[in-house]
Formats: sequence, C-alpha cells, structure tokens
Amino acid sequence: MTTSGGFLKRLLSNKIAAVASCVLVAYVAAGVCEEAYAIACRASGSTPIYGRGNIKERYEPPSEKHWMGTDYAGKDVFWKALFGIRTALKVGLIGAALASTIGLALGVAAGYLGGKTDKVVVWIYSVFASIPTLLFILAFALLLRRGFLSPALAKGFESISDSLGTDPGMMALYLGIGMTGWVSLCKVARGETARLKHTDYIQAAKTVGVSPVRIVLKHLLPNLLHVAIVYFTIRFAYAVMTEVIVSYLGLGVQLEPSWGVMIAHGQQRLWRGVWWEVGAATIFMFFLVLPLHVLGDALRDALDPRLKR
Amino acid sequence: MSLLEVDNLSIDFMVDGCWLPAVSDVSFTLERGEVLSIVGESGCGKSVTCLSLARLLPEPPARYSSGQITLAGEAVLQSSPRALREIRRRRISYIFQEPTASLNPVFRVGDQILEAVELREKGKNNDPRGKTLELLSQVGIPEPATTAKRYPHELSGGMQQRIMIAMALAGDPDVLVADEPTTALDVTIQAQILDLLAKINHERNMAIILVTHNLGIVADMAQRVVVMYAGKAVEAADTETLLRHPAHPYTKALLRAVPKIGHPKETLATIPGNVPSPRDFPPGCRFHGRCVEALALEKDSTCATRAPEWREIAKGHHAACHCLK
Amino acid sequence: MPLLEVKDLKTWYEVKSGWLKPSKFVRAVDGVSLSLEKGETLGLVGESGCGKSTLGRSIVRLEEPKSGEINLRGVNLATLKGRSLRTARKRFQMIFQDPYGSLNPRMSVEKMLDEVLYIHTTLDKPARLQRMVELLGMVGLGKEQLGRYPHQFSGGQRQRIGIARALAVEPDLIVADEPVSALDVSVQAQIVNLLMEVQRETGVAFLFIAHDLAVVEHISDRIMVMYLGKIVESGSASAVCASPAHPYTEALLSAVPVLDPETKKRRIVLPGDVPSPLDPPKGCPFHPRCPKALGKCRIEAPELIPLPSKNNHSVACHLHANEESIG
Ligand SMILES: Nc1ncnc2c1ncn2[C@@H]1O[C@H](COP(=O)(O)OP(=O)(O)OP(=O)(O)O)[C@@H](O)[C@H]1O
Ligand SMILES: Nc1ncnc2c1ncn2[C@@H]1O[C@H](COP(=O)(O)OP(=O)(O)OP(=O)(O)O)[C@@H](O)[C@H]1O
Ligand code: SF4
Ligand SMILES: [Mg+2]
Ligand SMILES: [Mg+2]
Repeated sequence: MTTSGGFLKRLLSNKIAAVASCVLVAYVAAGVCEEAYAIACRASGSTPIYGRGNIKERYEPPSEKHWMGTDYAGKDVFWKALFGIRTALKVGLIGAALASTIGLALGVAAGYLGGKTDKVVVWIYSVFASIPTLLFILAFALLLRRGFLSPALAKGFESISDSLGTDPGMMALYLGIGMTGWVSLCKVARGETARLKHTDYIQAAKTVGVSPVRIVLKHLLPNLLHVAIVYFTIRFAYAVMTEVIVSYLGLGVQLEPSWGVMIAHGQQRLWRGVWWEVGAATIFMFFLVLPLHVLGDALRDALDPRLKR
Repeated sequence: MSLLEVDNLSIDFMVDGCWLPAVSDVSFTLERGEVLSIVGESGCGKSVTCLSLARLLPEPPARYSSGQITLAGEAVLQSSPRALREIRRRRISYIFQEPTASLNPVFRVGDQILEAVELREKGKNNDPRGKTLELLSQVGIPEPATTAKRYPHELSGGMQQRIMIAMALAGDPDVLVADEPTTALDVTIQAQILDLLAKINHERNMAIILVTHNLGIVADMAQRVVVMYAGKAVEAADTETLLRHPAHPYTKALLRAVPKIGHPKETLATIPGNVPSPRDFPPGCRFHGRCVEALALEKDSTCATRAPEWREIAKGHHAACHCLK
Repeated sequence: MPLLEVKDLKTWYEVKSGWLKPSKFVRAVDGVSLSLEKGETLGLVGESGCGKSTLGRSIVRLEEPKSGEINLRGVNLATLKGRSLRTARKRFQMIFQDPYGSLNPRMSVEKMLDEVLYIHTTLDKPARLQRMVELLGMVGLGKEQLGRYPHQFSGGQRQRIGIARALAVEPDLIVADEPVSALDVSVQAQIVNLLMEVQRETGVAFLFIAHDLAVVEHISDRIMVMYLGKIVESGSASAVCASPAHPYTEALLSAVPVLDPETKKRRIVLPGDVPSPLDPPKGCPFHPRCPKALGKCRIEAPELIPLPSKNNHSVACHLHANEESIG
C-alpha cells in the first residue's frame, strides 16, 4: 500500500523511534530463539541453561564466568534474565492481543450498531473501568492458582494450560490482562466508529449495497487500525510490567524465569549487597518497556492523519 | 497617491525543506471609496496576498521574497513591530469566511466587540459601550442591546458575520479586507451581507478588498478586479472592461465556464486539466498547458519558456500574456 | 408511469431536548411529493437546512422515512429492508458533495469499483476489469489511474471517481447531492458537462441538488424549490427561472449575482434568518420573511397547486390562490 510506505519513512525518520525499533527487534529475535531452545530442551528432556545451578556457587558477584553473578541456588543470573525476555514477550503479546481484540470488537459493535448494543457495552466497560485493574488480575490469578474454583473447573484449566505448554500462572496472567486491558481501546474505537459511520465514504458503501459485515471489515476496520496499533504497543508495555508485578507478588509465573520472580528473590539479600539479581532483571525490563512507550508515541505521530502533509 | 499600493509582491512558503512560491510578482493599487475584488480559483494565493497586507503571515514558514506594500504612505514590510500593531489597529481590518472560527465561543458577542473597541481607542473614547451598540446597529443587528448579550453559537451564520464586520469596523479602518465573506452563507443571506458591505463602504468612505471566487459577486460589487491564477496576477481592470472585454485567455475561459441563468442544457466551456499546485508550476507562463490560445499550442513557443510580463495593455487595464500586443 | 414517484414523503429527526422533556422533531422533509421520468433531470434548490439532502438521502434510503411512498419502477423503496434493499440499490445510486470525504482513503480506485461490480454483477475478474476501464473512460480518467489511492487525485478527479462508482451498476436514478459545490469554477464546468454527457449516453435520471440556481437551471429539465421541508414551487427550469411565481423563488433568483454588469437588477434582500425547522412558523412557513405576505399567510398554510395557465408549474402561495379560483 502506498500510504504504508510513506508511514514507515515517517516513522523511521524519527531517530529515537528508529533506535527503539532496533532494540525491540533484538528483543523479539532473542525471544524467538529462546522459545525454540526451550522447546528443544523439553523434547530432549535436558535442563535448560537457565535452570542449571551449582549450589556451591550461590550468591557469587559478577565475574567472567557469571557475567551477572549467581542467585541463591547458584544459577546464572544473566541467563535467567535473558530468558525472562521470553516470558515477558509472551505475556505482553498474548495479553495485549487479547485486550486489543476484545476492545476493538466491542467498540466497533457498540459504535456501529448503536442502540441497545451500545448501552450494554457502555455498561460493561463502565463496570470494568471502576475496578482497580491490578487487584482484579491478582484476585483472578489467586482464584485460579489456589483452585478456589470448583475442582472440575480447576482441572480443566490445568489441562488447557498443559496442552498449550504454558505455566498455569501465565495463563492466569494472559486472561487477567486480556480481560482488564480492553476498556480504553473500546472507548476510542466506539467513538471513532460512530464518527466514521457517518462519513460519506461509509454512506457511499451503503448506497452501493455493501453488506454491513463487509462494511465493518473492509471499510471501517482499516480506518481504525492505526488506533489499534498504537494502543496495542502501549498495552504491550503495561502487560510486561503487570507480569513483573504479579510475579513479584508470587501469584504469576512459577516455572519459567521471570523478572518479577527474580526481583522478589533478589531483594531478600539486597541488604547484604547482593544487587545483581535485582539489577539484571530491572535493566532487562527497562530496555523493553521504554522502547515500547517511545514507539507507541512515535506511531501515534506517524499514523495520525491530521499530522500528514 | 493611492490608499494602498502593492508592488511586485512575492511570497514563498517553506514546505518540506524547500521554498514554494505562493504569490509571485503581484501588483495592484486601491483607492479610497473603491471596492477592489481579487478573484481566482482555490489555492491561487488570494488569502496569502490579503494576509500579507498587514504582514499577518507567520514567518516562517512564510517569507516575503520581494516587493513593497505601501498603506497610506507607510511601508508595511519595513515597519517596526510597534508600527505594525498600529497599522493593524487603525488602518486595516479583516473578516473571514468562517465567522464561527473567528469568534470566541465562551464570550458574549457584545463583550468581544467591546474589547475590540477598547483596544483600538485606548483612552480616547469615553463611551466604548455606546460605540459598541452603535456599531451593532450599523451592521443591521436588530435590538443591539439584547443581541450583545448573546453567545456566538446562539446566532445564525449571517448574524455572526455581521458581528465580525462590527468588530472589524471598531478601529475605523481605512481598508477592510473581506476574504470570501459569504462563501459559507446562504444565497439570500449572502445578499444581505453584500448589501451591508456596499452600504458601509459608501458611508465611511473607506476601501474594501473583496476576495471571492464567484464572478457574479464581482460584477455586483466591485469597481476594479484583479484576476489571479497560480500565484500570479494575470489581469486587472475595471469591472466592466474585465467582464465585457477580457484580454487574458484565463479570464476569458473562466467567464465562459460559469453557467448563466437563461441558457439551459448547453455544454459549458471548460478549461482542460487541473489547477497546478506550487510544487509543479510549469515553466514559462503558468497557464501554459491549459491555455487554448494558438500561441500557447505551438511547440516550444515563448509561452512554454518565458514568463509573460505584467503590462498595461490599455489605460488602467493590465494583463500578463504573450499573445497580447 | 414515471420512473420515480414520491408520495407525501416525511422524514423527521428526533431531537432530545433534555431530561424528562418530551423529544421534539425536526421536520426535515415534511410531505414532499415528486415524480421523475426516465432520462430527466430534476433540480432541487433551497437554503441550507431546508431538507434537500434529507430528501435525497431518504430516496436512496440512507435515512428511514417516517411515512410516505418512494416508488421506483413500481417498487416501493420505503418499505424495503435488509437484503432486498441491498439488491434493489442497483437501481439507484448517489453522488456526494465532498470529494475528499466520499472516497475511502484506504481503498484504491480498483478495489472500490471492483467491490460494486462484484456485488451487483456476475462478471468474472477479467470482465470486471474491462468494465472498470470502460467506466473510467466514461468519466475521463485513464486505466493507469486504477491502482491509485484517493489522496493522489485532485478534487475534480475524485468527483469523477465518485461518478464512476455510481454509474458502475447502470442505475436508473442517481441522486447527486451538491456534486459541484465544493469544486472550482473551471472544474465545476467539467463535471456539469460530464453529468449531462453521461445522461445522454446512459439515459439515467438525476435528482440534482444544489444551492446555486444558475448551475441547477443549467443542468435541469425541471426545478423544485424547497423551503423548510416543503416544496414551495416546481416547474420547468425555464419557466421557474423566467417567471418565478413564489416570492421566495423570486428572491432566490434576484440574489443570484449576474455576470453582466449592465443588467444590474435590484437584489431583493429578504429580512431575517431562515427559521428553525424545530418550530416552523404557523401558516405559510415563508411569511415572516415574505415581502408580499397577506393577512391570510399568517394563519393558513398554502397548498402546492398548479398554476392554471401554465404547464406543470405549481406553487404554494396564497398570492396565486385567487388565480386558481378565477381560472
Ligand atoms: N501556512 C502555509 N504553509 C504552506 N503553504 C501555504 C500556507 N498557506 C498557504 N499556503 C499555500 O499558498 C498557496 C496560496 O494559498 P491561499 O490560501 O492564498 O489560496 P486562496 O487563493 O485563498 O485559496 P482558497 O480559495 O482555497 O481560499 C496555496 O498553494 C497554499 O498551499
Ligand atoms: N441526523 C440528524 N439529526 C437531527 N437533525 C438533522 C439530522 N440531519 C439533518 N438534520 C436537520 O434537518 C434539517 C435538514 O437538513 P439537510 O441536511 O437535509 O439540509 P440541506 O437542505 O441539505 O442543507 P445544506 O444546504 O446545508 O446541505 C436541518 O435543520 C438539519 O439540522
Ligand atoms: S403565501 Fe403569503 S407568505 Fe407565503 S409566500 Fe405567498 S405571499 Fe408570501
Ligand atoms: Mg482563501
Ligand atoms: Mg445538504
């Protein structure tokens, strides 16, 4: 598409955004390699590198052998932090994708159909908007983790997460983030749709006899996509941070390396000068979240049709 | 000496790192008591020309690359910021196409006029409120006292435009620039506003520059006309000469392209092609390429290579075209 | 039987005036009847807000009429819904005013035209492509323009694409809502000519909406003048412009600036503003601004009745009621 060519040019002409994109590409590449490695390890039954530890080498400061020192079990902090990327990306990607899909679908439905549908959607998002997001996710994770659901449900949930090859704690995170993060996109999408619905070109599509489903998919959505993309980027960053917080509180990821878990463990010895575990996790997180925010802002500028020409 | 003299004015805009010409070598004069019309199609530089008269264009992106503007003996482009403020307060005022955009929605219209009066007559006028009401009744607002208490959105487009005119008259300007004052209004309301402008000009012995793309309004209102095309003045004459004996091919074509009452279902004469944008102004005469004059159709004619000069072809009748002797 | 016959069409908009207060109605179109023959152009003029667009949009069923009939070739469009309405849309199309807003910025010309042809014809891909090239030729564009996006065209070219889209399904009727109002004079002439040429070639009927009487007179066979949701005068273009019967039409005509500086006729300047359609004046809706109003005008609304002497020239004005009773 001609417009997207111009868009990429505009985006990359922003130097900071270009750097941010490079960092993100590196992170994603690392994440993909790690996922492949983890699958291979699971298949062969070997312990992955981040899981290997020598208890005799616990709490070693950074050295040539262990670039970022070791943790309480003598595991290498660098590898743990590096493999935290995979967890963070997965939660970010799936959580943000879920949230964006729900938000876009409900927003477009409400804006396009109006009437009763609109009222119901507005009611639902008002309810969700009045619940503190983090508390909701924590409660949700707790509910799933502790089997507070009926045993049958808990079983089912476990088997689902097993078959997907994920940690049940991560499943809880995906769902929790997905279910809470859609509200603001929904609001924006609803407003935009209601506006676009009355533009001449949508009316023109109607007079030509295009079916409502096709109008939404082919005429409306492409004109909403820029909002969704910007929103997705920002939501991604929030999801990464949410994962860290929830895992830090011990309700998130259990079996996989996670920056939140690392910070939780590392801080117990922080007062003895064991700073490297907390430091490594924080730095890795920082260099994922910051570029996401930068890119989100740059995308907003590059995609905003009002700033064109 | 004329009230306003514009001499060889050229204005460029910085767009994406290069200077594009918006107005090139435009000259005209305006006498007291006169209505001068500037006509031309969208983007030909009418508004830019008008805004430059009080040096109102933001610099950058604008740049006055050449020319002189002399308003009542003062050189506008060389004036100090202080002198410029004085010129804007007392010499020249503006009304624009969209009155809604020019009025502040959160203040009563009376207060907005009052502010304009006070700004213009600092210390001099002992009854600014009285002057406000007087202005309102002059622009034909019924019940000035009650209307003054209303907010802009409570008034119709025509009424808002009257308020804008009242504000513009606050400083008793010598020149009133009306940039498409009726384009956003209905035909019958347009008639009211045009009537009002003609009356004011007559009563106050000032001068009006009326920008429009409607040739009918020109015929109705103006004593003299400047026709612009692609940033250049192509022809200037008194209204009657211009409408009856247009000299420039563009003016001729434009006049033929307007549908007239009483000639139904005829094929209208058209001008081939589109108005060029400043990025792709053709070399030579800017109308070349759309011009159907024999000279312009010749291969490698002067039209394609050399820009025509702005010349007086008869007394008070200027034009810029190679085919005019 | 005429191609299009609209009977007593009413389209009202509901406006909520506030909590607990009963909602009011904007009577945008309030009892309009009209008919249109095959290949004919009916011009519709009137002041901003008088309901021209609403009438046009109701006929192409972008608005839901409150009551009345819209018979196109004997089918009442007013009652169609869903799929049957979508299929019927092949017969009537619309051209919009804003050349910048009426084309989807993210669809190429090809996609846009292909969609229409795909929905309404059984042509296969190559045949559709050929038809698209043919359509572009009809509106004076080349086939190299097919892959372009709307922002790569000028205003006039965009309007041509809008016309091509409307012509794609070979409709019987096109409602053109101010198709030239946003265009430059030189481009306006091109589009007006194009519309007349298209009509000669395809025999399509136009409902041509505009506020510029000169353009309307130029293109139309008949003219209807609308004021506050009602038709106040209708007749052949030449008759309405040469001998307007309604005082409003007279004022409208006198307000059209004339090019010839010699025939400087007196502008009839109507006092006051257009009343709000939320509470239109009692009696004749025009009476508060009418320079010739009679006492009766304030009380009783005049009916649209044919002038006795003339063909198909009707007017809704008490000034002419007497002629009727005499004749
Ligand atoms: N702030 C600006 N920056 C860049 N270019 C500008 C700016 N303002 C005007 N121009 C350019 O200057 C040229 C003349 O514009 P101008 O507004 O004077 O046209 P106009 O004759 O008033 O047209 P219209 O009838 O549409 O009002 C145009 O090509 C326009 O793109
Ligand atoms: N969706 C709507 N809801 C409420 N009122 C509306 C709506 N659309 C139009 N109206 C009102 O209906 C009346 C007729 O509007 P319409 O757009 O048909 O006028 P018009 O004659 O086409 O005017 P214009 O020349 O400005 O296009 C106006 O008073 C308008 O405010
Ligand atoms: S009926 Fe009376 S008020 Fe209405 S238009 Fe005729 S003269 Fe004017
Ligand atoms: Mg302008
Ligand atoms: Mg309209």
